[in-house]
Amino acid sequence: MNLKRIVKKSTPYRYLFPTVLLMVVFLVIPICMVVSYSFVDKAVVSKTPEFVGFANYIELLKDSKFWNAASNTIVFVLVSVVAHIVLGMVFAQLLNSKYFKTGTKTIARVVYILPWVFTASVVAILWKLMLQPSGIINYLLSFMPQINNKFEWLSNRDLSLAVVCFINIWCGYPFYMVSILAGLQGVPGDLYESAAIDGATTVKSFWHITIPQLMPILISIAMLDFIWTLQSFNVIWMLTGGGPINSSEMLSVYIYKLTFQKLDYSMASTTATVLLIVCVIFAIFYVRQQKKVRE
Amino acid sequence: MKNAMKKYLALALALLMVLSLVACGGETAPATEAPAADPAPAPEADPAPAPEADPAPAEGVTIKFQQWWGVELPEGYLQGIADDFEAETGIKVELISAPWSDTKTAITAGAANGTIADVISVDGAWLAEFSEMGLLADLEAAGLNTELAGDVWSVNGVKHVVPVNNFTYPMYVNMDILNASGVEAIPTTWTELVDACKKIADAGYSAFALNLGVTNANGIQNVFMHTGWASGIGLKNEAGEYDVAGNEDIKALAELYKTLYDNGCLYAGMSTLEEAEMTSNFAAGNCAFTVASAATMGEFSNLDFEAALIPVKDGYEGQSGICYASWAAGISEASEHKAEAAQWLNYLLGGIDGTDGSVSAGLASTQTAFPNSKIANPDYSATPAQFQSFYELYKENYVINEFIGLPNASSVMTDMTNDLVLYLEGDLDVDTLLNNWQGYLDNAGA
Repeated sequence: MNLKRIVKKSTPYRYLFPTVLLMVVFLVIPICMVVSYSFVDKAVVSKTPEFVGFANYIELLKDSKFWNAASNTIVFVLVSVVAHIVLGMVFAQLLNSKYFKTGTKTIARVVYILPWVFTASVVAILWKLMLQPSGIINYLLSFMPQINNKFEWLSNRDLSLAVVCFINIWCGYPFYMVSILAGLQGVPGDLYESAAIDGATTVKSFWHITIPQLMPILISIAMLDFIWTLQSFNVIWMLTGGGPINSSEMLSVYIYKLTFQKLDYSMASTTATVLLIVCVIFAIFYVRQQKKVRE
Repeated sequence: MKNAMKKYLALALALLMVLSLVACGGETAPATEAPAADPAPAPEADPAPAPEADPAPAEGVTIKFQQWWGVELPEGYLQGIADDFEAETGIKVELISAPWSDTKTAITAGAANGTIADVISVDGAWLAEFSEMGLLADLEAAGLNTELAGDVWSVNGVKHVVPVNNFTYPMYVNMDILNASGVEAIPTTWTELVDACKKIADAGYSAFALNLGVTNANGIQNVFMHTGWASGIGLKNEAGEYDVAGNEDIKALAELYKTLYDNGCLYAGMSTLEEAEMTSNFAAGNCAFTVASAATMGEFSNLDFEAALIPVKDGYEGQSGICYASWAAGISEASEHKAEAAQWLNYLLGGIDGTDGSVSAGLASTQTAFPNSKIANPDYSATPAQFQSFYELYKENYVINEFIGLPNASSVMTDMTNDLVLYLEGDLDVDTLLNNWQGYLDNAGA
């Protein structure tokens, strides 16, 4: 094989090399390190960590705080994803409606997308101020005589998870709205016209035309949202820190506390590895679904 | 063969893409609230001792100093000190400044990947962990003139960390709220505190702020245990062992806060209230009493306030313990320039020859703090009058912080905080509370 031939053959690999190198350095190696930490005792903090096999995983599964965080995470993710879809669909339908003028739609589009534009810190500060016991929400409630206006929204163990879910829904639905709106604008109008001629009601058109047409988009964004919501951290940490009494603690917060409060990198890595496996499973489904769409 | 190769390559790329999809969904770690620096002891007005023979200046050496101080000081202040030090010694100090909340992460990450700075600032809550990780060098062996310092933190007899500035925690009192509520004087005993808080709450104001948020669970230290220390009540017995279970004094302390809670006198939302929020709420005039660092006093310029000692248990006549925190620093065990690092710390405490406390004094007066340097004489004339009057109280009493050096202090304080919330809300009895705390303290670091 002469040099020219080798150069020609290796051309695609050379193009790929910088990307692959970056992914290996910034992705594969860190992930491998985290996974390896999960199999040793006193990772990072000890110069001579000992291999402990699956002991960390067994310990994790016995930890009630882990299960509390896991169950909170499941509730948080499911409620958020479902609410995102429903709200996103409603707002997208409104913006796609022929009953509003273009100017109205443009203004509404800007207003509706605002929560998504705010950074996590702005969202957290904004809501924390409004939800303070002496904040504007309780102040507004004070005008309703039959309603308790002394709510400690974020400091009440029975309310904190629901409030955190609500705020996450509020700041996440615009992504769905924009994606679904794009999908709605791509649905051929003649499908609706044909359905109307056949006597289909608006509801039937929605279930038998809109939903099937949007299904690839809905599945894609739901899977992405599932993965992103599973890893939500900033807003939760800044709103409640997982409290009170771990009532709003998600796996991401649980991992953070293990890492930076307890300096227990081994258990933190173990939990992160479990979370990684869940995310990878969903990511594989996502990639497969995308492949199907392309085909 | 070719096809097989392509398949493997495609498989590897697909795997990378899946992993990147997962990783890209992640969020960056947040910045939490500003915290409580940490510990420090009462200063002594002793004359400066002669410095130890420092190693010869190492011209051209650069040392890195990881700290949160630069963020809290006026812009360029710490850099100015570093520039003066370089002009005197030829040693360049590269400042790596980040908020307190990010500093521990940065230091442990640096330790993990071998990029830890030569000099690292240390919070009292991190001391035991950093020591166990082997991050901290022996300061005396490195050349620190320990006689310049009023206090040096040790672990197992080895001096690892020296405080530079000490921050105390006065109880701030909003005099407008007291007057409006008919409270005639700042309470000095627990009974007076309960009565005053009741009057304030009845008048429609928030009375006492207790921060029990857990992003930085320091309310258990700065407010709750501080109230105990003010009355000579501590977590440890005379033998230095944790003595919490069945401790009648701590039980009485817990019951004091339970009474305040039951009377509706604790600031609403306490279980997620963080120190910075507590301070800003006091600054906004939303609360009658709060306990916060003296360094925050400048934020209260629009208030009619006083800085007082925390009320003591009825009948207690001894000195009051005042909670403190510090800007402290140690030398990294991994540093190749320990002598130069020690020289920098000596400079912060006693100037270039160990007789000039102006650097330390300047840091203290700028931050309304107290210097750990024995030879510093800060000029507090420009500080608020309330600070100057509290300085007198500070000199008459003593500083204490039993959480300094406690292994896994952050984690222990979080657990103690969670139990205290349960107790205050009536879901845990006081004996169980104290038994749990005893367990956390006994098992700390295990």
